[in-house]
Amino acid sequence: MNADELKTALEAEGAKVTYDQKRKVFDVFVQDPSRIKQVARKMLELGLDHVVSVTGVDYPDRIEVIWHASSYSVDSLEGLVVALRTPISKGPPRQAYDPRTRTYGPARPPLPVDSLTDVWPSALFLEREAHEMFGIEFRGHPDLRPILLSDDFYGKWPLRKDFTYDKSELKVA
Amino acid sequence: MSERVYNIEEAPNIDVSGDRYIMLQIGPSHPGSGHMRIKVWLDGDIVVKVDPDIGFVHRTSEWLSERREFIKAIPIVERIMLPDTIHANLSYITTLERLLGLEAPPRAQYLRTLAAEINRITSHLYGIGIFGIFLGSSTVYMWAFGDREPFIDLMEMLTGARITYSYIIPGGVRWDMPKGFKERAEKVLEYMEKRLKDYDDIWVKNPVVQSRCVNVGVIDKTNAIRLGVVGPNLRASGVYYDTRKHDPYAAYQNVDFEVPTFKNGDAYDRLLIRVEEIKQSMKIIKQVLKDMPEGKIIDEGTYKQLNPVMKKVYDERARVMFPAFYNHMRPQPGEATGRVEAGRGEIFFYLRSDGGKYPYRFRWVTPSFRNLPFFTHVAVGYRLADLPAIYGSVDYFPPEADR
Repeated sequence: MNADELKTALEAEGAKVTYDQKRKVFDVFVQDPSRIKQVARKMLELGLDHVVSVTGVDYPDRIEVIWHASSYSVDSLEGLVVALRTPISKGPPRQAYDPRTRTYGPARPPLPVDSLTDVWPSALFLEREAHEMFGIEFRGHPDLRPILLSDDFYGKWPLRKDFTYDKSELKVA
Repeated sequence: MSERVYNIEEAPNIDVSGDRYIMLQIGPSHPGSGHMRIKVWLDGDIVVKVDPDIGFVHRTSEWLSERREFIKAIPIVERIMLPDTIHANLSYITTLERLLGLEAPPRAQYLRTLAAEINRITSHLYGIGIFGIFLGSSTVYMWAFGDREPFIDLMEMLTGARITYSYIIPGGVRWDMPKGFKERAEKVLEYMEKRLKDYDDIWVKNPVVQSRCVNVGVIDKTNAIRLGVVGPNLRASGVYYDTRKHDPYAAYQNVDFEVPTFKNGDAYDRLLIRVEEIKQSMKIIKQVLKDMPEGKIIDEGTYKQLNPVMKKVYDERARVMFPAFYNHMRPQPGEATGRVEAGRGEIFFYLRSDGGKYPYRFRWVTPSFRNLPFFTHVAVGYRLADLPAIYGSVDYFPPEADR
């Protein structure tokens, strides 16, 4: 199995695949988030056996969730990092800081997408991190407690582009 | 030595509520190196479930880096992994160069390899020292930390700093190899070879160490792959994988080295593999010193941007002063990924640019963070008294995981 065969196999699953050898980007784009698990299973079957990183990218109109998968067991795939990418629609934007209520408007619930932890157990902690940083709800994840941030940061989704902080919040009691 | 009672496959599904299990908190203040808390559930004195609670030293490196110019992220990523700063620096710059379409000249690539391997040795000695203190051997702790010094001095000679080098920049490195470096490096390597024999006598082949580490904290090959373990811990479980071999960067395709692997995947193998990797790193350093090509240490495009004063400094002292455009780098829109084998395992970088001054998305994952699923599984089924040996053998560095 080399990069071209992998490309053909994943295109058969309905994904849009691009490969840029110079920048080391092997991109598998799945437009429909509900098909993500099926494509991930296929990737596991082809030998991409662990996840390197799970993250989101916040664009003006959507949030993209990216699972970067790689292989330990198939020799010819070991030089590749395959990015499985899917867009999810964004909820309401964050409102301006209200000093009276000390909030940024009503709480914004996390956005649902399927968790891939049952396909790749190595994504357990990586998905937890993406959850608290971007507000992505990984449905089916066994344990979505905050991991790096403290509990009072929950719901602020700090790595989204609309995250700001008010100076009064920095005051330490 | 103890038999494993609980199966690691079923470990995460055990219901630990009720009176049968005791919950014990280890940490958060310094259970070994850095701050993390381990919640351990015990059945008698058998570990049933481990829940690492991390984030005490979270420094928001991704958030900070997305709000700065590309070049200013170098000190941020370095301060996250202090025993291993050159690899943080190297992985970031490797990815940034792919984004910018730059390529460093051969001499710079060799200098990067040299710095990386010296740093790998200091990182492994740090790990061995911490492991020593976990098992109650303050001798090995003192020895390992003392033997880091010659290598740190070498790095000081090469880069001008002891720990935070900021040595690697887009397109090359900042300093050329100084006069007398080669002779000194050879002396240091000779010294270390002698010392490794001493380590064998007092530590590696010590029956007390063996009885505490052999068959403790076993992770087999299948589980190591499934849990996405990285670095020496992965190779101790018998997986032949090293980013230096499988996804080469810097000058690693030109040097000859072996990737040591072991079969059992227990705490003792994880100790042995660090010693073996120190030997391989010394082999690489010797080759790099011998084969170091002549030439520039910065790429042509950057050299042309230097003003006359900077060019004078470069010609006389072989030192690159930062041209002003470094602060205004605007990579083409797009993304790039990069991987580097650091001392503790593989660092992964994902950068996305929208054509602006700052990175649009700056994502990196450190080896200690990727070893967390491994950490939740490895101690299950062993006695609480084995936990220090297991924790120490993993070479987990909390500030690195928290980023």
